[in-house]
Amino acid sequence: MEPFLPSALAFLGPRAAQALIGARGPLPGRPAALAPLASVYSPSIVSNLELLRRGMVGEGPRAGWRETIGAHVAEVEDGRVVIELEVHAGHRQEGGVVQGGIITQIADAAMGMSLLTRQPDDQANVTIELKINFLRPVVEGRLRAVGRVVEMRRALLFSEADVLDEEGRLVAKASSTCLAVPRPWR
Amino acid sequence: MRGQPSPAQRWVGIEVRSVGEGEAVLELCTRPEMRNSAEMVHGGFIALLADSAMGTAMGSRLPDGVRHPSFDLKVSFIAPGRIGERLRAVAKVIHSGRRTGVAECRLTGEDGRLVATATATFAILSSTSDQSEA
Repeated sequence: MEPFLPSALAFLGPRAAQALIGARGPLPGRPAALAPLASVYSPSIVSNLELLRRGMVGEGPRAGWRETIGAHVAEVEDGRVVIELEVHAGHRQEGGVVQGGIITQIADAAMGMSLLTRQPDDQANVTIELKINFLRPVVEGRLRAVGRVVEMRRALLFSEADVLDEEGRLVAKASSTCLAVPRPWR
Repeated sequence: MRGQPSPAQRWVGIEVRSVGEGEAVLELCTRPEMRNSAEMVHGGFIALLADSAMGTAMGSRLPDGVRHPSFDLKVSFIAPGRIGERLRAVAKVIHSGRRTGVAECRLTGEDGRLVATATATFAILSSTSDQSEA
């Protein structure tokens, strides 16, 4: 028999959902597959902070999206991550300015990664809501998305990002809500 | 009038504590009739306080008589507001352009815990020509 899952969590699959609602006790029916994460978590796995730092030098799990647009992780510290992007023609829309989705992408990544620095090493997060204001058009130069933690709750994580141009002017301002999930990589 | 609460704000009980250049601090003393079914402050009052604070901050950057309605408001409800406590909203303008402005706001409870964050976008209706263009 399928264990009951709140509908909002069903898309995550039973294991991820259990990690979120674990305090309510184990789900019935699948004791082996649904062992609490603490028991399958091995402290020898790479920490989230270390993983992000490896990402800065092109190591660790592959992040294809970064290769696609040419973004890189520039700074990682507790509660704060900076993503940089050297703007080129491939980022521009028909009007000659950087397409908003590109800016959103680096803001989202900076926010999610800033949250990751504060999460336990067996957790990661997924964005469930994001809002952005585009304040200035960008044509060229290096963009910096500075993501930082606003507040961490048990399952819901709140963050903000400023996207700055090469002169340090505020280009976009974003905020997001993320959901804590079991870490999908080792 | 600059920094003066609107009739709606007065009716709810929002007080303007300070207005600076692009900044404003507003407070709301929450009452039992503001509670939701969870016995906490209904989110609508938190949104109203945030919108009011950001609107007041925006107004402080503009000449008298320039209307600046918000056309976008996003609130992240982070912790519940307790009935009877005084909620404090600190708003700052982060962008003030010719036609639009953007402000952000942090709302805290009496113990300093973060209750909500918000951002809003404002239309700046600076002259009659803007209205004829619209």
